[in-house]
Amino acid sequence: MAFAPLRFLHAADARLDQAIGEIPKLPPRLAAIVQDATRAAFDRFIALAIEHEVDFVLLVGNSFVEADQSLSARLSLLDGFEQLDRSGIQALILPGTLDPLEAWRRIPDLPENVTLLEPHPKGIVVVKRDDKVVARVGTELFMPARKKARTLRDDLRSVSQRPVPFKIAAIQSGDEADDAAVFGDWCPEEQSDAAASASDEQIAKANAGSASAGNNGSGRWLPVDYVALGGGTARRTIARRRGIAHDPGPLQGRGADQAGPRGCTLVTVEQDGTLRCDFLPAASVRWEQFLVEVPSSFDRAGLLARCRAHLDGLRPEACENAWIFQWVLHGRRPTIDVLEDESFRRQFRQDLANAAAVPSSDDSMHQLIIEADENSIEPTGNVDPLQADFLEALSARRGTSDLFRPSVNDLRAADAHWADRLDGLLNDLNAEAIRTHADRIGQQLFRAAMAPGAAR
Amino acid sequence: MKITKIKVDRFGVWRQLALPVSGRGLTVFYGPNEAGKTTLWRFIRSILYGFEPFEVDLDGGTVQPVRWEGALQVEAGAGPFSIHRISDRGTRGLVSVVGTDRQEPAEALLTELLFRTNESLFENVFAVGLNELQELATLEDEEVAHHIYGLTLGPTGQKLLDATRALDGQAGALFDAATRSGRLVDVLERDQSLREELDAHRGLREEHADACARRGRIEARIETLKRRRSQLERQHSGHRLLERVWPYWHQVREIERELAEIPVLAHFPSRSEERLERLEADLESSTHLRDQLSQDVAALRSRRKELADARRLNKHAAAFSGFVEHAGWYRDVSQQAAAARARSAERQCRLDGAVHELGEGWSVERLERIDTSPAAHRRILAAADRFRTALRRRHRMARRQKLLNRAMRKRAALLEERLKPLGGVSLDQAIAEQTARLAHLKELTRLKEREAELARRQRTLAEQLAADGAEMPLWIAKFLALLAGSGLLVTAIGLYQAAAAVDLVAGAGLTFIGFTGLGLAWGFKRHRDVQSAADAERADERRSVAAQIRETNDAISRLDATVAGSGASEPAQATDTAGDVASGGNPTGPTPAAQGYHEQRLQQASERLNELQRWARAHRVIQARRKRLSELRSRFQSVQRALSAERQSWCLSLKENGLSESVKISEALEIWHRIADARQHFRDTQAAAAEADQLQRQLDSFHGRMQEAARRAGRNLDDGAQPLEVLADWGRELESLAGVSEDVRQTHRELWQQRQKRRQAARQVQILRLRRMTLFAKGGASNRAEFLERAGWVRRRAECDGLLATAQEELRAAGESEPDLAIVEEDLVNFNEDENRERVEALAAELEQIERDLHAAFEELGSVKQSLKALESSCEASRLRFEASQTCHELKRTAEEWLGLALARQALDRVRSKFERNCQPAVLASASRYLERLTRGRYRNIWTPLGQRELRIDDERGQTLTVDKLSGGTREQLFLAVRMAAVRQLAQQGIELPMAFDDVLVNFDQQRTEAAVETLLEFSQQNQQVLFFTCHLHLAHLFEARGIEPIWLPGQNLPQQNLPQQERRAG
Repeated sequence: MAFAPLRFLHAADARLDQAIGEIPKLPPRLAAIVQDATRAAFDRFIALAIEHEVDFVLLVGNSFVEADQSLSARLSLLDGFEQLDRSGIQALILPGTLDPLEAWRRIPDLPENVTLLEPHPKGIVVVKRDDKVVARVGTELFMPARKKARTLRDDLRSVSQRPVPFKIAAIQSGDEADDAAVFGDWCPEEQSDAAASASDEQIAKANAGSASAGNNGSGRWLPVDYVALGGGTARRTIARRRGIAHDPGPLQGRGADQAGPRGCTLVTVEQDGTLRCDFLPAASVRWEQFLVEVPSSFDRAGLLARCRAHLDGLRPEACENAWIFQWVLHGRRPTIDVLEDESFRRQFRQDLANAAAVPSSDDSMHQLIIEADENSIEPTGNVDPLQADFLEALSARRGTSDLFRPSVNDLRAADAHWADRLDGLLNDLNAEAIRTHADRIGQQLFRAAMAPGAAR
Repeated sequence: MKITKIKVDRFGVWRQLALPVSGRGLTVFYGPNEAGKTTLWRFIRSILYGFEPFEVDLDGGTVQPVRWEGALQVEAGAGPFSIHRISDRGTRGLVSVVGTDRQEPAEALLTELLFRTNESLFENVFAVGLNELQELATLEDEEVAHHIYGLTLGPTGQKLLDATRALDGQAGALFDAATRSGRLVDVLERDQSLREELDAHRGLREEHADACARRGRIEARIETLKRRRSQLERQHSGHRLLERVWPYWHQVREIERELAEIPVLAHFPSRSEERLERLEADLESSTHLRDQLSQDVAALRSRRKELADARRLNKHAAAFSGFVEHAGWYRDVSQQAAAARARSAERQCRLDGAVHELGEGWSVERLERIDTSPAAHRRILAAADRFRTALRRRHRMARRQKLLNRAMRKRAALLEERLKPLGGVSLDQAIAEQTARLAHLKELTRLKEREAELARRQRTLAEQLAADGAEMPLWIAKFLALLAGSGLLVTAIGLYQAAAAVDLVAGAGLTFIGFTGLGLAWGFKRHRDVQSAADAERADERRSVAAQIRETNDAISRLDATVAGSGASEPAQATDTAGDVASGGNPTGPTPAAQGYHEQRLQQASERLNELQRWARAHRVIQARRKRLSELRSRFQSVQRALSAERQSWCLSLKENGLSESVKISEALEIWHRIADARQHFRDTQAAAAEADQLQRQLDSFHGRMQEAARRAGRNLDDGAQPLEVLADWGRELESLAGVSEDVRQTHRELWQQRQKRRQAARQVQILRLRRMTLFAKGGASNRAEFLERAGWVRRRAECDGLLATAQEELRAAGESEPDLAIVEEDLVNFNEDENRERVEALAAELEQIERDLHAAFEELGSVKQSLKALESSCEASRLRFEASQTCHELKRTAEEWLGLALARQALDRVRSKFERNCQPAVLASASRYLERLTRGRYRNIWTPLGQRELRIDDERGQTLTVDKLSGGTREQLFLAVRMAAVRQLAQQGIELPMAFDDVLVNFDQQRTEAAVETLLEFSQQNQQVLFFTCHLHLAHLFEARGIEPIWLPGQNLPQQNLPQQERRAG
């Protein structure tokens, strides 16, 4: 099957003007960069679209957060779309959970090049070039075939000569979604581990041979050639027997759990059906998270060297204006306790900033997280009975957030608004972190309490 | 150590008292009030730990020491000892320990016998009176508390306590509910502030959309206006050109017509042209006037139209005027709201300060719960007054009792000091003896006087005997016998003679003589007999006197012996008279020296008797005062009980009013006053906040109504706009609106007037035209043209030729001035100069209006674009969202930290609770058992929170109570149990001291009294010596019924015969 050569830019989860980077006490320069990161990434995305002269851009889900009611996000969107409009580039938008269709419809003066993708009954969007349809974009994994029945001769001519539109389905899935549930019977896999081995560099062939199978297999409903995914926290590509599904990940990483370079994907469809997904970095702020094991024989220089080894392997992108590193130092007590000292942490952060050649210390920030080995926390051997009782009582306190209601009620006695606020956050809190904190407090308390006794 | 004998040489009311005490078990001392039980109790403590210093103020004002002295025989592990202590004033006494060979100081030996306990511990634990039992504070003495609470803490408890404090410290740094401070509070406040700011930025998108829509509308309007302006400009130019061209065209046309139509007229009126010119002039001036008026009317119409536009605001003028009129109110309310907010903040600060001053555990919520109404204030003041009055009364009573007791003891000591020489003889006996001695001395005096009188009588008799007692000389007897014989003879002779008639006369004479001689002899004989009888009598009397003198001397000797016996100290004066008599000498009576000595003795005896009688009176006074002291003590007991009741009432009042229990009235009242002040601050704060809120609501409501009114009037009132500035703008607009209205009215008036004038002018034109027509008729013409034609055909023909050429030239020039415009002949034909002028003016006015509208639209567009630019360039919302996100993250981490602390605290509390319930000190465990027995199982467990000096009691239902929740009796039972347990605990530590109770069961009911007696008996059977002092007979009988024979102390102020038979066995 022949396709009209096509090129489009696929981005997802832009979340324009959403506050990112939950790191307190950012330096003002970094804070300004982080604050503008999503908009800068979107501007970069628009610039890339114009630069690569794409046929259209495809924004899949959560382009902005309606709940924030951000004017800056709307202006950035409108400005970007107008730029695309001036360049003759169509913008196809799949509304997501955070930017529902109604929110898009409420945007006034949306340029004409913007098309909102709606469920199939509303119709499938076609992308034309020189008055010829080069792509059909919908929101389902299968698209209806031509409305009128074709003769066998037409089919043969279509298959052999006439380029067919490239079929794209835009779907917001997210990390939590089960691939099997999302993809259903769309293009069964040839190899079970194909998805796992798929990468951005992989070139998937939507070959003509499989197209006929699709035609034959689905009757009037044909499987799409490209599934534009969105909502995931990482880039991923799933190759199937026919076509691929690709999620470029968030346009801008929002935290350490979205580490690494972030951006969009330039999808190029060759005439022979060859499909290439090229990663184009767009994120303004880059997050990196490294887990560093702290050996029992603690050595500051050695630890710094381990960290530097991680830094040396990094390659900065041109669009990145700020880097935020999160170092998870994992070790056993009491070695790890040395790292709790604030002066040590401050100095170590400074050493890390100096150690990184790129980026400069002004454009980067290093955050240290100390993680004690759980096994080292649990009492072993000769344990103070009180500590054992404490741990037993603590383990008995495991359970739901109802445990914290009395504390919230104490807070309510002081101020009802505070209590309501904390009440609303209870489900977002890390119960395990709370328990670990309580555990650590117990260790500190009884270790401190034991010290005089030991001295006696 | 156990006491086996109490030996009081001298202490208080006791003298030479020896009481054997059972060394094992319980010993009950019964005695009525004033019997000296408490003195005995004090004596034991004083012997063990030292006397209290005393001062004795003697009558002379000199201070002399009073010597207390006594001993306790005790049994200790090393054997029997006797602890003897003697005290001087101002010292605790010198102690000696007998019964050991150890060469150590007696104090050291005694300290060892007392197991190195101090007096405080003994008084608070071992020696328990009703006062100690009622006072919670005695258990909080440092050393006692150390035994009850401190020792029980142990290293584990200390660890838990340290951990709790450390945890509280960490939690307080995160969140302190009392001061509403801490890191969590800071983050929450910052979070709330940011969210509020974000909420304020919520409508930016809609605002931007509105501004965009408005911009679009304005731009569309501008386009429309521009198009309209272009059209009007073209129309205006056409009419102007027509206006310029038409006169020339018309002139040419007229001249041509004139030339074509000029006839020759022969009879034409003279001076008709002048008249016509005059009429024409008048007509022209009238027409001009009319036209002028028409122009004025048109101008006024235009003006009215302009003003009508300005009056569109008039629809909303009333609403705006209402708001403007309230500008002053709004300013006042704003200022009031600001002042109220400042007041609220200031009062909040004051409230926080006041709550902080109240100390830990106080919060605004607790303060809010406290009733500080005048009634509560009166109640607590009344309770305080009653408690203070009871305290003062007890203090007064105690001081009075102390003074009376001291004075009585001084008097008693003085009296005793003075009675000491009596050598153990009672005062009455001494008085009796002295009275007897005085009587003896008086008898002796009397006897000695009698002796002297007898001696004098004896001497007189002796002198009389010496004077009369000589024997009648013999010759006198013989002479008398001769005389008697002679007389008898003579008588006989005389009788004879008489009888014998011898010579009667002679006989008679001789008889007479005989008789005379006989009479003389008889007389002499008789006198001699009488004298002899008198002498015999004198002798007898002398013998009798001598016998009496002897008897008197004997009596004197006996009395002397008696007196000498009773007054042994007197020098033995010789009973000289007796000796004289005894020696058979003539009693000569007492010598002056002896007499003086005797009188001196008599005087001394009398003085001594007087002195003794004075002492007896002093003794009676002392007895009376002792009785009074007894009464005072009884009253003191009742006052003490009343004080206890008032203290409970006071504590209850404090508790009811939400205060901590305290017996310090001034401190509690100060706290109460501070609470009242804080409460007042709280009310002030609430009032100020409510006032501020109310004012703010009024302001907000007013502002909302302003916005609504502005919206209705098609105006966009910016949220950030200051209402007062808006109102000032509205005011100015309304003022100008009033001017416009006035202008409109004026314009209407002028328009009407101008129309009137125009109508008049039109009528004048009609009249002039009629006159002109008359003139025309006279000239044979029907109209002016005809007339002019007729008048000036000839003259005009030549002129018209020249004029026609000029006019045509000018017409061509005028037509060429506007090459873009073409004039249609029809327009020129239909041209009406007035209408055209009006049309031009109207177009000019409309163009001017369009220019103004355009200007306003451009200004509005600029404003909208400016606001759009400001909105688009503002990144405040993004910054706030970013900061809110950062703060939310920090809040989550801080909350996790805080909840981690809370979780740790819950676990620690569980460990603590387990420890507190299961690892209570032995003292409290033992006390729990005693309390269960004392209360017949009503209360079962005593425990204390870790690190606190507070007792908690679990009742039979498992409910935990604090001490202040207990009744007075139960509280005494609790403290009794705790003390008994403490004694048992100390005994287990080797500190075995006797335990003394002074009437501690008086507030127990019958059931619990019996339980207490049984418990005490059981307690004493655990090798614990118990000394139980009571003044209640039923208690003594209770113990007696259980085999404990009480020791009946002698009543000091009760007659012996009033005591029951068994009570007289005391001592």
